[in-house]
Amino acid sequence: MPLFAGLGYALLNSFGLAGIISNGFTLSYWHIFFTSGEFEKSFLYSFILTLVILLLSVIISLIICISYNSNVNTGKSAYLFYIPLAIPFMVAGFLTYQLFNPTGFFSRVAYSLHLTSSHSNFPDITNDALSIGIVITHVFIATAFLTILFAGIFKNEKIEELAILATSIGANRREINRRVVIPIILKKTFPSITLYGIFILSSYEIPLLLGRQTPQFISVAIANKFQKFNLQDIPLAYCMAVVYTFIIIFILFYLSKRNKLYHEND
Amino acid sequence: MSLFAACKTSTDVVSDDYLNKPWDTIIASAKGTTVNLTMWQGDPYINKYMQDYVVPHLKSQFNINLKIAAGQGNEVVKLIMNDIEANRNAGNIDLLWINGETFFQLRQVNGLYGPFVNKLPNAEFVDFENRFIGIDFQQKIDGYECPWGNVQLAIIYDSLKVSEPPKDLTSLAEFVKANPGKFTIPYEFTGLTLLKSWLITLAGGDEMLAGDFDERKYEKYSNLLWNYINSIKPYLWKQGETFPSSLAQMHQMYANGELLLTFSNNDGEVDNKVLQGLFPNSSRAYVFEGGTIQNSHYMGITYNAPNVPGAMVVCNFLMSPEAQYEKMKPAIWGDGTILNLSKLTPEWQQKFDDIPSRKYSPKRSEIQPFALMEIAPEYMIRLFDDFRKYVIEK
Repeated sequence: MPLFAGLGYALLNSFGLAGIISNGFTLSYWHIFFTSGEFEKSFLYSFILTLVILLLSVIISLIICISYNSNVNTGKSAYLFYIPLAIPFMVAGFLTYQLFNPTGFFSRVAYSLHLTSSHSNFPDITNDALSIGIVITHVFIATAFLTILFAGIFKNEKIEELAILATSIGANRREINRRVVIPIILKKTFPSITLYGIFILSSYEIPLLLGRQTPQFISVAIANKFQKFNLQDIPLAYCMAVVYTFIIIFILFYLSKRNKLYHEND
Repeated sequence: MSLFAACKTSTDVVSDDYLNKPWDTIIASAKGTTVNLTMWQGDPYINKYMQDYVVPHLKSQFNINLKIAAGQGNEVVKLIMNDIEANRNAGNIDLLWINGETFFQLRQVNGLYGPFVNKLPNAEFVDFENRFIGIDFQQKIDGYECPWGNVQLAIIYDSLKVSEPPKDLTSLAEFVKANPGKFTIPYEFTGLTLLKSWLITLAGGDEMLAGDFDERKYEKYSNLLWNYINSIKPYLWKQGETFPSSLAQMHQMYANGELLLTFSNNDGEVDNKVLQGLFPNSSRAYVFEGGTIQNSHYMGITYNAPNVPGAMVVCNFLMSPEAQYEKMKPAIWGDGTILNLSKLTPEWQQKFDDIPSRKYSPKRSEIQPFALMEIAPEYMIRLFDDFRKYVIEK
């Protein structure tokens, strides 16, 4: 209910029907929204980056889980995966910046070890064109989350026993991973991975600290419209927020349908 | 007609009785109350001045509890706009630290209480005739905000690394080309103040852009500005493909040696940054020969302040000679005063004269001839959008 109330209010704002700077019904904000291309650019950039982050995190987490036979979230080693999850996004972004910027910690170490001739020779991965800083920071946190998730599935679905069974009928390790372990884990965790993807897609602090002014992550672009100098940009921010929310609702709807079908076929 | 138009007529909800009451009554009403002040808290020296000087003095002199919360600019404007839309008669904020851009926005939505400034006894010492104080972003303050400090945009450099800092746009272009990757423009308020200063310089002086926003003039001179910046863009930090989004980041990169120049909206800031150990002792500040923008910062009372008398007493104290004197000391804050010193008693005039001079910043009298007046707020809005369009995305 609060979501729909908020959405309704945002829609009214976008049509100039609410908000203290409104002057009555207008389509001008939507016209700017559709003609500027700003939303599409930001959304596409955020979406592609989210896919890259998820892909890398899933691969790394699967490798860790398979290599350590799911024992990663027990004993002392579990802290390795729980600690990254306790780091707020703002702090994680700030740490990446402090460690990797051209005059940051690693650059200074490299310089003092004569590995680089000047600070500017250190690879630049903060506020960079390829968004490497954003990817590294998100992958660091997402890998911890997905590894714990996969390890849980590994145990609950008795994947180890299934692997032994597959071995007894002649499957080798590679075939077991390709045909048993990975498909089961990915099928069972697909909704969680997608939800985490939405979480990354909507993230604000990390792209704010480590990204560029253009293209901007969708949440940064919307927040900028809300918070910067021109009050006339606020209805435009509502246009962006409304469309983004509808896209997310559509994804969630698709997920719940898919989940329902999956359980019916199970 | 807006569906929510009914919610828009709520800006006069706070009793304006206090505007007609004697000052003694206001002081009596303020006694024993709490005033909630929202301000930017990004500078430890400013925070220390507020906590160690202002808060205890207000308590001892007026029995007022000043509570300071962090918040600034647009986020506060949004809060007040929400209050106005919700028809909220008593908000959470009494007093706000604002600059021209926030003043412009709050006046647009009738978010400020007033006119209250002339009610304050210490207003008689304020230099309202000074165009850098009585007018904020080309808009008369009209008693809706009380002047607190006055500053001028300055450029900071390390004298050990830069022997001859660039003084105009031509020498800056040469400097940037000779030192690739060592110069950039912050894409935030201070950076926009720099862009406005350059726009005025390219236009031939602040009188050329005085008054209301002029689209024709903006088009003409902003084209010159974008051409200039694009001519040095390949030599900027990260080849001008991105720009720092905060001044703190600029300062950090300057302190690390990643940049050779940084900027400050406060011409005296270099002194306290050196004293804090953030900048090297060899740091110095100066202004461009074409001039840099000088402006004032103010305190405003929200339209729905629950404690108007308390907020007025705080404003009056902040404008007092003793509070202004303390604030002006370089080791405390180094903020310029808004007082007309000739209106003060000889004793106070002497005290202001005896303030230890700045060590690393230029003297106020030296940079005053290069002070440019703020231009209409629409110039900043357009520069913010067009910098992105014509420089970053180009």
